Amino acid sequence: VTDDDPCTLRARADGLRRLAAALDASCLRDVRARGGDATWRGPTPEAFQDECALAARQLDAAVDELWQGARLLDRRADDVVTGNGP
Amino acid sequence: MGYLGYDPDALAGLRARLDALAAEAARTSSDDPFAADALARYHAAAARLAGWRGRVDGVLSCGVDGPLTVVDLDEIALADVLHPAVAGWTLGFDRDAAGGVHGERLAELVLVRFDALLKDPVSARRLANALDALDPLAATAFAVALGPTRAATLLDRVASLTALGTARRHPSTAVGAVLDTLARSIGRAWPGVEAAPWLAALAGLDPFTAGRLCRAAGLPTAALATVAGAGLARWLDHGSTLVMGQPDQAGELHPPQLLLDALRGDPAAGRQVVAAWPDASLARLFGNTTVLGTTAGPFLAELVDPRQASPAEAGQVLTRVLPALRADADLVDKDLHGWLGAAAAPWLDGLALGGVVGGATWSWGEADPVALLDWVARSSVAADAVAVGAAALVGARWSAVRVGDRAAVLYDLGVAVGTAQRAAGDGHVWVARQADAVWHQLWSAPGTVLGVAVTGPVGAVVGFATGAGVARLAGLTERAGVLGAPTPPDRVERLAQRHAADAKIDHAARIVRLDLAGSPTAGPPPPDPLALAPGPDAVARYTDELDRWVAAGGRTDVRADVHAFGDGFGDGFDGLAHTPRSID
Repeated sequence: VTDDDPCTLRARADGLRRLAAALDASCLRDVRARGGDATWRGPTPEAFQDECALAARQLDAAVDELWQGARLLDRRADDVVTGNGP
Repeated sequence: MGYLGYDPDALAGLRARLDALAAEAARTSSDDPFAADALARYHAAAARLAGWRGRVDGVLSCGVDGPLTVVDLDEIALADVLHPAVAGWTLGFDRDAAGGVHGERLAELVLVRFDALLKDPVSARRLANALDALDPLAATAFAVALGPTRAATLLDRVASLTALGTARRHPSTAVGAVLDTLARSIGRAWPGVEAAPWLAALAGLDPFTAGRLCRAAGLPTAALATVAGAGLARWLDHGSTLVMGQPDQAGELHPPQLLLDALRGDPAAGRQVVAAWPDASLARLFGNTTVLGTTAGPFLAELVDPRQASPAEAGQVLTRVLPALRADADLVDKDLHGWLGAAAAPWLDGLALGGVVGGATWSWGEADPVALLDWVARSSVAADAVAVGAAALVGARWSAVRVGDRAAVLYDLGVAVGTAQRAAGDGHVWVARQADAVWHQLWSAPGTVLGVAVTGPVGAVVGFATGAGVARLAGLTERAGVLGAPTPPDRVERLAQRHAADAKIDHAARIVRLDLAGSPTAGPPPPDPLALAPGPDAVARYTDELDRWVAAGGRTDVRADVHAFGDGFGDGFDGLAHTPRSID
């Protein structure tokens, strides 16, 4: 298996997409939803909610990065098949 | 200190999800190098959130010593406070929370759970602590969220609980603390709120509530004057029908006493109240000694205390209060009358001359200030106060002598002092006549009482009681400067005349000493007026001595000063200088 094998590249892309989907459905989002005003209120909970918001942004960024990685691998596999690759 | 409210079940659910997140993170991995950065971000985020499990555990276990110091979380059950739709909430004050108490949230708490909080002394005390912890910014947020109308309603409600609790001898200290801290919060918030709607709402407070608010809030002068003035007016109009306007049995002050106490802390506000009130209200308020006790007199005296009040400010009060009280003299009791003397004493030139005092114009309207001074002095205490004020006047106004038309200013000073001394003397005469009237009433109409006392069947007892009464009356007349009884009024008046002659000599001595202070003379020392034997001719004898002193090398200007002052004194004392003149 090499980096130029279209099957391998597409398999890696699939893996990244699965991972992206898994992270997108992470418990982290549930934690954020459950840690809001309906559960607790006060300066300490607000600090927790701020933390959750930051974590959610990091999670979104991670998911986007994984999707971009998958698209890159797919494009590379297509280039190999069409002979446009390096 | 912050607050913390939570739903225990929901928080336990959050705790479980944090466990699940930690487990999820532990099993989430990838060998693909393209996933490395993304996974690193995810793991970092998940680890930070999972790190909160300890703090959540602290809350769930109500741990006092935990990293999140939660104070007795389960003692204040505020189920529907922070999230009214959800039952079972717990709330506590979180000492370690950053950011302090949130004003808006505390307002929400107060609005929803106020009555319940006040029923429990522990909760009430905690609420008071939370209110006290508000910094000015949070206090402003609290006040804005509460709003003026609702704040006024809450203040009245907690005040009624305080008043009733006190009256029933219930321990209402905690509720009273809520009232005071609520008031202080409003005071701290004041610079940040729109004043007009707040003033409108607070002006409608029950007088007792207004009194407690004014005493605790530290409102700025104008606001204090508005709220306290409205409270006093409301008490005058509706006092007898107000539950909280009634006396209680546990030492709580009456509403007007509370309000006057608050105004005593800010005399400028007190002067604004007095200036804005109609005459009839002033007399009804200050004359109500049944309720005010001894509060009104000191209050008035402090409003015009020369250490705190400028001549203009003192005139603003005295020109309003004295005519108003004179018009309702029946309302002025002996104690208040004495305090009127103390209030007027530092400003005798304003009454005796009635014009400009220290650069400020005193407008008496249709009132005759000299007649008012005569009336003020009609109590032994007030007459003494006026005499003392007269003695101090020369020294107090001596700077005017140095810069003005010397002879004219000294003449005016003489008029003021002479008028005041006559008023003081007349006051003592009036008091002595009252005492004489009592004597004559006792000795003439029921004179047979003494006969009954010595011949009746219970002679010893009655005789003893009568003797005690006679001794009491003797004491009265002695205090009025009259020995023996009954005393002929003309003797009293002769004493007053002698008092005037002595006073004139006393003031001449002051003039001589002030004149010569700091300017030693080369000639012989001036005659000491106070070394003269007292008597009605003392003034003439002293004038002769002054002439001899001048002839022997003494200063003619000093003699001229004494004469200018003496002329004024004589005219003032004889009532000949009734045309107001002024001392700038």
